[in-house]
Amino acid sequence: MKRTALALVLLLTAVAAEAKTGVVFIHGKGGTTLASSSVARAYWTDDMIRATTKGYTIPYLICSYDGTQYMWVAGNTVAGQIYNWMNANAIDDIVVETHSFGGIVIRWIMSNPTYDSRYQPIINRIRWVNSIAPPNKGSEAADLAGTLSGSWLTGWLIDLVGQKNNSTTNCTTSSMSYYNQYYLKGTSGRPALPKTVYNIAGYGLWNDFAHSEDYGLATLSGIAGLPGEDDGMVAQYSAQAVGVVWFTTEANHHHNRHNDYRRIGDSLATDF
Amino acid sequence: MKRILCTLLFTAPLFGQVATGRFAQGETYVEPERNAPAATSRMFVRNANGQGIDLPATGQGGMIIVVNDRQPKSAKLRTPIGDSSSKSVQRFAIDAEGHEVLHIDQTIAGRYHVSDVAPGATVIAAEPDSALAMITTVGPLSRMPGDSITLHATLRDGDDSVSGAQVVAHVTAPDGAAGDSIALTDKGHGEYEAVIAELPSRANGFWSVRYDADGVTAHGVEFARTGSNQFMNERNSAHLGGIRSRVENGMLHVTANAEIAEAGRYRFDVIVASERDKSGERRGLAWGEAAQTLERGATQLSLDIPLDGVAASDLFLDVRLLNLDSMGMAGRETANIH
Repeated sequence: MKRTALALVLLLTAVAAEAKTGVVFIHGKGGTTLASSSVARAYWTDDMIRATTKGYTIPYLICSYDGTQYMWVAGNTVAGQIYNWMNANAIDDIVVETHSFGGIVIRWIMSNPTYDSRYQPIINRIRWVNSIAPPNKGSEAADLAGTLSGSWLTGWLIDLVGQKNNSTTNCTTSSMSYYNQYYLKGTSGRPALPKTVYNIAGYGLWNDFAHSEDYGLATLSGIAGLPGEDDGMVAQYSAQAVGVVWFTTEANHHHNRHNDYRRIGDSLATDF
Repeated sequence: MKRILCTLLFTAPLFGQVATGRFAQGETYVEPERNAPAATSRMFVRNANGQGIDLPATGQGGMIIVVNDRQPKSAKLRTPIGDSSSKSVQRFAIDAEGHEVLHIDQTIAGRYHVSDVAPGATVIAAEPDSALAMITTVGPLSRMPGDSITLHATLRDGDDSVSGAQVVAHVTAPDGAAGDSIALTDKGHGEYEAVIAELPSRANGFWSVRYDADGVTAHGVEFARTGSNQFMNERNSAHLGGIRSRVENGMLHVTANAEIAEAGRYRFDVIVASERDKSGERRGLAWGEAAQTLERGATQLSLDIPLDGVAASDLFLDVRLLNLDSMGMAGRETANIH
């Protein structure tokens, strides 16, 4: 309710000041092919983008970056894309939608305004961030990649956990504990982020028996030992470690970046 | 004289990008954790050698078995009572290549045997409902050059500690080079520990520690557990010291001496907190950071942080020098202002 009221106030303010609103999508970790704009778009699916942008009526940017890299490498790529897009289109009111590691990438940008000259102008134009299933305190699933380092793994497990590459290392619970203490803001005991993050945590596993991803996520939840509720990849405690809880969803980590099992895109669209 | 003039002219903030801010009202300042966060494991890993694999089950709930075999085929499973056709075992196809995951609804305490697994395959067995858990950590999370490293594992079977187990650790460098196995000493009460003074290499970055435990509970049940943690092996890039501070007209001036061994981009961070309250906690008050490029040799760092409305006595400073070229902490000091 508070969020809706704030959105209304900001909308009216934006109209009064003729602010131009836009929405930015930042995907999670994955393969190197996520640097391709078409692969990044497929990550979200057209229906998610259509729903969030109210039928493409809100200007939008789908960021694309190599999904195997550390948050600062991804952050610089993403910052370059946002900076050019917002200036080219005179966008001065940005709502950021992130999924999974994308939530860590935007936290890197917002936590380190002095790291890159483009960061502060971007931060200034962000209204808020909606962060879906961010591993703010790391993911026990990423820890599993360290445990299994050196072992040959089947493709589905690599697809879910990731090879022991830089982005997977970035997402372990140990790494995130380190980064939260020294490089990232927003967790308890650290300075606040300059803009509000609204988190959306998943708690479902068996969403859709037609997708083998669901079997994989349910299995991963069991072997990685994700504590408490989780979406197969990220535990709720970790997703909710930064910002304000917006809502929780039964959609698992595969479905909570889409607008299919639960209409998350429809919820994101209520910002506009 | 030239050096002093140079220092005065090129004091860090003149170059650096500076940001300052306040903590949220009522926010507590928390000191960095010394150790990696504890990781709890109810799973274990076995590597196949072509002879089949024994998987000890605790009989405490179900078991998930994942066979990572290059040639997908149906692995055979035999229960501890020799049954190969148990209806309690379900098989799920998990990918289009034909790989399967086996679910056992309720295990019998004892050794399950998996056969028809190719040499080199990795088998993961998890008992998510089991009370038998291995909790591991490693410290320090931020390991400075010269620090010894403590590897620690705790074995619990519900409320009972588990002693007499064999617990070994392997440390793996950021480049994937694995070290020799390190046996942890049974310290009693389910606690196992090893302290290592040196790492196999000086590689900087996150090192992994994998722990493997095998043992028998007080109830005579055989078990195995595998877990892991990581720690940051910091580079010897700079030394921070000589923290000085003063408050003038609502502005906190902080300076520090730095000896830079590796030229590059760094960030001078200062967090300002209150003195401890009765419950031992500190309130976060303000923060500042200055990013700058530093050359090799001695330099002075400085930062001004507005303290609007903050009582400028009995403050606590957490001062850090962070590397920005290759992420890592170059130095950290704390100081009190009275």
